[in-house]
Amino acid sequence: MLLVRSALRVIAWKKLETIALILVTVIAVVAPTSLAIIKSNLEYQIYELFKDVSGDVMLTGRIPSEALKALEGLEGVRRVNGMIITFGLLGEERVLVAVMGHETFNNFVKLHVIREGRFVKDPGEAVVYRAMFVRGPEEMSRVGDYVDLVVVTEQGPVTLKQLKVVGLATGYNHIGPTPFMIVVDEGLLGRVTNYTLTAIRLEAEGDPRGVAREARSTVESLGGTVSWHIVNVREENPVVLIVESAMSIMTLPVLIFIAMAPILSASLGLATVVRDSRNIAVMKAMGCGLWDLFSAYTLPWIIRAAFGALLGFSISPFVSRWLYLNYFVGEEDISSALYERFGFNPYWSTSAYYTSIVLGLTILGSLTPLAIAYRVNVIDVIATVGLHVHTAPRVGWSVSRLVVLRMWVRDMIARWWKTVGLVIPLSLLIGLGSSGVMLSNSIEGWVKDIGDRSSTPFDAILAVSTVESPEKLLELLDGLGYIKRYFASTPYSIASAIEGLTFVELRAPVKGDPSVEFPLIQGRYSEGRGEVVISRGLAEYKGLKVGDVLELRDTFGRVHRLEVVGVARAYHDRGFQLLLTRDSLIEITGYKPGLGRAFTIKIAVELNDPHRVEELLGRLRSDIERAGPYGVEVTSRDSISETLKAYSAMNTAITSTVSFLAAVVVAIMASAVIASDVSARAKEIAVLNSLGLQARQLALGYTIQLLIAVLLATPMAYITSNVIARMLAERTVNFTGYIEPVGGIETVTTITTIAPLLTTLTVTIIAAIIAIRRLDVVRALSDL
Amino acid sequence: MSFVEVRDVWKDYVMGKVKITAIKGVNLDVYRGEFLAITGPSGSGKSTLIHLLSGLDVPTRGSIRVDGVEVSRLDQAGRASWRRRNVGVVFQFFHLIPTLNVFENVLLTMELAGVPSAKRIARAWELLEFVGLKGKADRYPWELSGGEQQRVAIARALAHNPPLILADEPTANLDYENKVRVVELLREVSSTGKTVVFATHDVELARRADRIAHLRDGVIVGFEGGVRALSKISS
Repeated sequence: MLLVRSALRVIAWKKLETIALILVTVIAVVAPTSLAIIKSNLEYQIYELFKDVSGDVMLTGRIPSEALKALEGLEGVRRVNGMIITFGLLGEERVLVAVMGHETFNNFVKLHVIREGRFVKDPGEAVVYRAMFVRGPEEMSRVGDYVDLVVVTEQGPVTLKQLKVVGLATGYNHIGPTPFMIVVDEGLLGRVTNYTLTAIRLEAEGDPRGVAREARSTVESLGGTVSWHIVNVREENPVVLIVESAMSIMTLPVLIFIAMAPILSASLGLATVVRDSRNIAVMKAMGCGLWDLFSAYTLPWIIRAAFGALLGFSISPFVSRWLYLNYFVGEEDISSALYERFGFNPYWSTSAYYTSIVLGLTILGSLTPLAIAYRVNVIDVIATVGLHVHTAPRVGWSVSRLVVLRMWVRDMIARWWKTVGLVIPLSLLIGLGSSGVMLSNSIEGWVKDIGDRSSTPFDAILAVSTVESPEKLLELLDGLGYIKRYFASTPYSIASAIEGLTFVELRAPVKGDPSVEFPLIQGRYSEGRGEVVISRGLAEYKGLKVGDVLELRDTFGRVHRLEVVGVARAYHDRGFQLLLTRDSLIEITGYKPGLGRAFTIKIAVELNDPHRVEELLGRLRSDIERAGPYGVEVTSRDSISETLKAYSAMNTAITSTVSFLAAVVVAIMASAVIASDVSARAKEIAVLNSLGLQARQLALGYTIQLLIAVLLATPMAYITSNVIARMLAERTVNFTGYIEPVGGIETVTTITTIAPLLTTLTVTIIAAIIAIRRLDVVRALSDL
Repeated sequence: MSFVEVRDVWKDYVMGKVKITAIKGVNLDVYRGEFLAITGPSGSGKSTLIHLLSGLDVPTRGSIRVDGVEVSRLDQAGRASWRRRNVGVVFQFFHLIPTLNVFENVLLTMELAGVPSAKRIARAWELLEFVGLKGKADRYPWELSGGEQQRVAIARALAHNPPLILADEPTANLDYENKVRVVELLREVSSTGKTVVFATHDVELARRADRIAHLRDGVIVGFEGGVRALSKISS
């Protein structure tokens, strides 16, 4: 008890060390915990939303109505909802047209509010649904209006005349690029569409994968086609994985802070033990054992760390809530709706998890000085008079110059714990900034590529939905004089097909020149079954080259082995595209293009006049829409470039923010290490002062030590930055695509790295000056 | 004319809530080339007076003038700068810089004082020979005995050729043989024309100086050996 009291006194007397460790521990707990709590909330909210919309299993395709009953009878199926979703025109506005029951509608659109009126009851009635947060007109109709709706069906466009709007609804489900959906009675649409379902939502008990397999074969046995299905398991939920990937941009660099508290406690603890070696020798001479040394030299650090960790634990949920509300929830954003519906869970267990990690590591760090204290040789230390209670390296002595510099350099070797306490945090700080630069370089490379027509020739990618074969559309394109070349292909996305990736997009060529969209970097295009051309991002992420075998898992878990015959620069290098033959696509996916609700086709277009891209794309869009019931989404090269620039800006913003936070933490640490060193070397500094060394020259000495620490930290930082950048690239792969880190040692000399470093050094030098000025030279010399 | 003039110097310290007056109205003149011992029991103010003379500390009241420079009026940086050129200090616990070997410890003060590089090595060897440690130039402080360390400290204090040498209990941690050797070294230093002031509680050793100032409770209560000092100064 006496020693605990003594430990508490040490904590009270050594205020700087106490404040520094508590601050660093609080940041080490709060920074990763608050982001982890936000991530858990977002994942929970999005998963719940997704589950409400898609149930446990969702099948899309061309599904006969009798499948509803058959599926209800399947083992493990609790509830079945069918729906028809197609698209149409309401006046000039493109809309989705849906047939679904009230319950399905509730699940599907989420947070729907029948703002006015009621849900449809009879044929001839409609509800106009407006998705929140989707750009477009706010209002379309009023309750009581009569509207004519043109619906695109397999039989062609059908006009439903004089539908009465009985209700207006809003919700936050995004159902595609259009903000409006018209919900009509199934009796009405059934008559004109032969009541072919386009999607079925299943709620299941037990293994949803088994249910999905059974459901798919049931639909196929009834003559239907399933073009795509989702099994909603949280760990594999693609949207949850994307959220996790997106959050990794912030959570991963912040994990570095966890290492700061143990480094600080070890470094300051070692400085204390060496400073107090004479006291320790006396304690040992008096018969004090390991426990006593622990109480005197480890317990104060543990108590400080425990206090900091407890404080961090207590405030993390509140900090995360504040960060969430201020930085993750926008007023006009889906996040605000999600927050209203699901609230914010403080996830105390997450806070406890990170707190225990930080505290555990810091306790380990605090134990390091104990080993040194235990090894103090009583006789040697007590017999020693003067300043030298530690050894210094034997380096050449016959040079008359730079003795002062030699003194400061050797001090860094003799007091290695100080050097370690400075070098590791500085290397993490520099590495963090440098890793951001490596990723920025990579993104800038993409932006450059996308701006270079000779390496990426397309001007736009069109995603066209149509209910009829695309041949007519392609003939139309052939006849358009302003189109130089195009490449049309069938896209098909699979979730979790390649380990670590949420989605990969399979493409089978339909017509045209694949080099418009996929210019080859290596090899050739696929010619036979089992051959594949992969996008550069995928090749870099998986380390694949021509001749390697790519393993692809389909939605039922079957593994397909594909030979890589080429690597191509994909239009959106962040994506993971596989260009294979039509036969391979059908074999892997079971999806036969043209069957199901509609054709979906992607067309990469190269225009004849690169100076009139905007005008020609507008013309192309209207030419296509005039030619038939086509839904067209245009992604221009500029918009891809803008997206990449936005990633670059986001990367810079996050790197800068995290680097700034790291600069604060490292500045606290380095200042504490230097101030502790000044205190430990008080007598030596006083002697130097008595020999005529001024305070500013002493501060210059510490500046030299800091600069040497920076020099030592730089190669470590280069390694650290590579590790951080690679981890970031891998963990964020599902959000940004694979950003191969680009850059060498020069990345540590950019402004992103130098600015936080200079800030840290300035703060530390100021701390050193203050510590030196506060030093009482006379007392230090008089103190035995 | 005196080389060091101490006029009505007072020094107060505040220790917690207690104010202690360590020096009470001291007046002292030390002449150029004089070898002065300040003696007195523990707590009499010897170290404080040495600190004040060296400019490490400033008096609460009064003035200290060394070779015409009013040291007590200089700021901290000015005093450090003045000390670098004009004072050599020897401590009770030697206080050699642990990360520098014997040779470098001697070089250190010359580098600080801006002695030309070409002269430093010759001067360092000369001084190590003077203190009898030429053969141990590459040793680190912890590899030397107490007496050897104190001799290195003297060599370090002399290295930049300061006119004033101040030594605070330089013999307190040494055996008798080394005590005598160190004091004789200081005497030799003074014989080269340098002014040497050393504090000691050992009256017998103090008698080896030209003159002794007796200090009691912060007050100089008397001098001894003034005639010897006078004859040395006049010669």
